[in-house]
Amino acid sequence: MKNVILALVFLLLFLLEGTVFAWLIPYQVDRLITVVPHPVLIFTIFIAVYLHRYKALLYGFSFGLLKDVVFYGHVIGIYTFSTAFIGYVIGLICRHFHPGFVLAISMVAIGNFFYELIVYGLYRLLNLVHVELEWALFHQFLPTMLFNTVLAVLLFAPIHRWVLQPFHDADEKINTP
Amino acid sequence: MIKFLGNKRLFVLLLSLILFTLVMGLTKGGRERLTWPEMFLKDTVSWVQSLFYEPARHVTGFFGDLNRLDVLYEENKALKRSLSRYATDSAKLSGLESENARLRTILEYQGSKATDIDFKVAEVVSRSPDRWNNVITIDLGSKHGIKKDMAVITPGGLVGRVQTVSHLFSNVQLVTDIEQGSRVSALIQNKQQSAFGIIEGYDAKTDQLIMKRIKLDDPVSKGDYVITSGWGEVFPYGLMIGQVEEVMIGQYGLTKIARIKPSADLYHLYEVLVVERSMQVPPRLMNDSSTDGESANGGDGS
Repeated sequence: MKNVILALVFLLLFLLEGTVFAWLIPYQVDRLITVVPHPVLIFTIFIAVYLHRYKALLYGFSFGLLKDVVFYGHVIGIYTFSTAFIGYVIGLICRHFHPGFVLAISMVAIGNFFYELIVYGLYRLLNLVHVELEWALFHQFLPTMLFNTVLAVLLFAPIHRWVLQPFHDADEKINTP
Repeated sequence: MIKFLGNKRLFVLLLSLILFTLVMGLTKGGRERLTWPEMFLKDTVSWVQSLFYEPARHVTGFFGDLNRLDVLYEENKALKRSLSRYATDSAKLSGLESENARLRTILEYQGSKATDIDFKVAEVVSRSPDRWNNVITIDLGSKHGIKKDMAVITPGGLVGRVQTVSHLFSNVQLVTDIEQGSRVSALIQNKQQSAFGIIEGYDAKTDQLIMKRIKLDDPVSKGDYVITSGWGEVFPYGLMIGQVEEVMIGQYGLTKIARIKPSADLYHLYEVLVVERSMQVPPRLMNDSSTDGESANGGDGS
């Protein structure tokens, strides 16, 4: 039941990512810098912080794969790998900390940055992107990181109240390493 | 480090890295067909996405329009200006068309340069939020006769080409994602002459397409229009791509490079046209032009 609810929230965020969020970015901003909303990644990181790293790995893998297949253009596997990897590593870092708002939000900021870096690096490795790192850093990575941190602050309250807190309390015994 | 990860975990990590490399390698570049699980997943998810995209566009479109009232005013003025030009242009065009038909009959010219283009209107269902992978999903698929590599345009100009097709939906790779496999052969139209070249890349920094391999002595100047040449396998002749913004001499001084501003708005798309190219000349047209080309062509034009 718990997993069904988690999967449904993921699915909703995934659907919003390609449709509603794509229209959220104002017209004028799009031409100057690139801001990419990552609600699915944000939720993966929340799960890594509050629940368990294996859960984050599993959901990151599944919904990364979904993104890869639905928006298949160049290659399959990049989003699968990076979402799952970020979810797992953040879960690994956070297992000794007590989960809370500040930890979750800062992890979203860090995770987002490295997610962008991994995705960019893989595309660069496969010779599909030719933009220099420095330009990408200032025009995509940092604006995207800021935007997603704000998005995470907005999403935190509802997700924490209805999904994370009840599940976290139930998981307390299993989660302790 | 090994102790931190554990032996088994390290093994799993390495194995999954190899697996990912394998999957990426296998799926890189254009594949002719998708497998049925991919098609199934794509069709279902895209169908649900189509329920979201339309209302989202309307709501944000409303606020966006309020935001852009000043821009709209300017746009309206520009449109009125171009509309008045359109009237004179269409008059000129009909004159040229009849002259062309007359000259064709004199020359007994049989070949047609794929001028009979069919469009299919498609709605955009979703857009890949990531900018390294510029893909939009449209609500036409193999059931509607969409095939890989068909050109996709808006009234503004060329948008991209069909990358993958499933039963009910297909993915369109935007023109900004031009890569080795999908170059566009193009013509720069000048007053006197047209110059041939190949669009090989996109510069994200300046939002310009890069057209290479233009002959040194071909006249190219700023403001010239660029259209598809129709010589490549992919696109038909005459689709607008953009306008030349900058001309440079190429790396080895043997060719010219032109930087082109795409004329289509690639940021906010909601309705696109898929171009169906008929490779052979339809027999009807050939018969008509051999008997009385002028009247037949006039009938086609209306």
